[in-house]
Amino acid sequence: MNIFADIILASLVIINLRLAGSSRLGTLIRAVALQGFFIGLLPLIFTGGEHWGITLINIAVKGVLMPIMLTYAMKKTNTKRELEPLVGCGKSVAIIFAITLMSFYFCEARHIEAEIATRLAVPLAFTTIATGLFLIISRRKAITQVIGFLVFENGVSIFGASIAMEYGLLIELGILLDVFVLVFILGIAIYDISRTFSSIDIDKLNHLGDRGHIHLRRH
Amino acid sequence: MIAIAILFLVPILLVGSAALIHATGYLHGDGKKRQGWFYFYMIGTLVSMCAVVGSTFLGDKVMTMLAFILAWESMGLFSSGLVGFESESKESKKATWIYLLSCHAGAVFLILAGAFSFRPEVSQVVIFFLLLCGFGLKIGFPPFHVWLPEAHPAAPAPASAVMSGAMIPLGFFGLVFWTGVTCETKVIAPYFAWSMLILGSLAALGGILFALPQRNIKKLLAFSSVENMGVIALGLGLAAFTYTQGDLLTLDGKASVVDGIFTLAALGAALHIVNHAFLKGGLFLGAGSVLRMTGTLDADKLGGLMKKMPWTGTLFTLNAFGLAALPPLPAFLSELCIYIAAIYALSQGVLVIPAAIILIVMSLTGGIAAATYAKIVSATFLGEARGDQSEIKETPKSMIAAQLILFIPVAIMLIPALLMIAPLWLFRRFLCPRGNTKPRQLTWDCGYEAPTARMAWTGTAFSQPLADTFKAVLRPRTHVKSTKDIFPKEEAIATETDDIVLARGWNPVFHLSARAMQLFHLFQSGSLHFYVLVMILAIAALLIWGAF
Repeated sequence: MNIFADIILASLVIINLRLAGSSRLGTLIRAVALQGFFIGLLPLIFTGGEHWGITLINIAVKGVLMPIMLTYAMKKTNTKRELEPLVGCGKSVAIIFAITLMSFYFCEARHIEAEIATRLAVPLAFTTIATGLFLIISRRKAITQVIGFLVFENGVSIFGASIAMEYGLLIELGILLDVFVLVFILGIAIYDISRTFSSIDIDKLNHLGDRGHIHLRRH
Repeated sequence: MIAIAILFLVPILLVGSAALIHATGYLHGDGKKRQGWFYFYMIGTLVSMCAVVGSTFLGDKVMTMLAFILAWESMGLFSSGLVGFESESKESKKATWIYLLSCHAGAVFLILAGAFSFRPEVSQVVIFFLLLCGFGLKIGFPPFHVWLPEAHPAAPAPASAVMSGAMIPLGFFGLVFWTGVTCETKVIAPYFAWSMLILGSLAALGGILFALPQRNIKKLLAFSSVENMGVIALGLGLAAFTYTQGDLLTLDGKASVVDGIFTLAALGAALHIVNHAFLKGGLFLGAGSVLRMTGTLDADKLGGLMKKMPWTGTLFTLNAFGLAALPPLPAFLSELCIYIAAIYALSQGVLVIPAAIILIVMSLTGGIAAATYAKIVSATFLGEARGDQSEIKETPKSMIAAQLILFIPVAIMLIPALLMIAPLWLFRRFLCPRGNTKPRQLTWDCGYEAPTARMAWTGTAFSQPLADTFKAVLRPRTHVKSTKDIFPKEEAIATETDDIVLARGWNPVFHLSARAMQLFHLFQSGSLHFYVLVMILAIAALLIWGAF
């Protein structure tokens, strides 16, 4: 049983690197769909075959529904690639690789191990969370930000699935609902943003903030 | 306790009602909504001032503390609405800002003192100095007085009258009450006495020195308030010094000496609180009438107002003489009590050093105060008009009535003086009748009739010799526009004296802290990515901190 979990968790490393290394939005969405599918399976494996319902809901929402919505948003806004990311794809892969190593080292050094799940679960949860946050920081397109947020949430749910079996799953379902609604709203918002700014580059939103005000005060 | 409360409630209620009556004339012509806001702030201030006094009767210490701080803060908030009432001008906004800042800084000290008073490990001396800072901000001890000369000229005159006459002395009420509640008398008496002596000397001398060269009537009165608070502090300080002489009570003959000093000094301070409230309230109302009728408070541009506004002029003059402690007017009486206490202490060889300091400071202060009020009265009301005054007439009756209410103490003290003068006047009136054939002349016309009355001495010129003597402290800024040509051209000279503590002490501090706060703008770059990065780094740092 643990061998399945280990295989899934190890494949998450590759998916994380793929997320960091690709600039095509289509690839990113497929990668996050695959990640959602695998992570949806985790509760089933950890609990040894119970919780079918939760697994199905997880896979349906994370593996199917949200990727479809993201693809829809991508087509609607007519963006295919993440042009000019703040951190290049090669560097991104190197950084994610370094983060993976560091989180393994960190967990080994502090003996942070889940009670039930495998030794891989906690470091990979950290890695996946870090990957999601890294995508949010280093990419410009709004769709990539949403994908980053999804990856972040996937990392949290690895954590939840591996540490707290019984109550964690209920909470996970609640979080899942939140994330679903969020992606739903963002899908609409992205379309509106692209229509208003003729771009979904979030750097264009920066001047909506109070930066101009600060410049006035400084000079 | 009830006597002390009455001592502070009388100025609040009388000055408050006089100010409200005066406001009906002062605000005449303003919109209804504006007037409504004024009365809202004004009555809110008066009610919370009464609440400050009333909260001390609650009995329970915690309840008293909460109610007191609540009332104290609402007093500051309501009155800052008054300070910012004419908020169109830049000075008024600045004044409101400074006033709000000082109110809140004071509240911080008071809350700290209140919180520490429940911790036995905190020394009583620390609590006392926190109380001193908190209430000193309201009283206006240097270097905390900076809000006074800014806020009083900015506020409408009735508000200035209430704030200067009744609100500032409440600081003494709070200081004495809370020092008594939180500290033991024996422990704190020397600290109380010495700090009152030092701060009172600074306030009295500094306040009147900076009042002397001011041209703005209300600014001059504000600095004079600092001076009068200093005099009250000197009286309180001398009274507190008697507690440090407790062991003398057992010696023969000395007991009555200490008691006498205490009674006289405390009586002088208490009388001066009431006198200052009435006189300064009346002066501020008079200044308000002048502003209302002439549109300016610059004494060097006024002059000769006595002919146009005889009632306001007479009341202002007598109030000013009263506050300059000229006999037989009321402030003389209260200062005399403190003088007698100090002289008595000196003559009995008790408390020699404090008594000597008080005598020196108060006599110097009284001299400069006389010069200051002579200057402001003569520049504003005497002499000839320095501008066109054809439109100016006496103020409405309500404004005069308000000043008459505050004139009561002076009137009472004037009665014996008038009885003394009356025979002389009758003698002159009936035995040496004067023919009315003399032509009417310009006042103080020293050959200046022909070109312009503006060539006559101004208030600034009058105070210049004294101001030059204290140049090292006052540091006046002089703008001279002169010509070196053979033929005369247009020349000009203007002198301004800024509050040195604000200009050289607080402003650099404020600028430095503003510069330091600019560093935080580095974090406010406006880039969303950067914000998320900072948040993540903070969370990661917390995680690592928790793990290792």
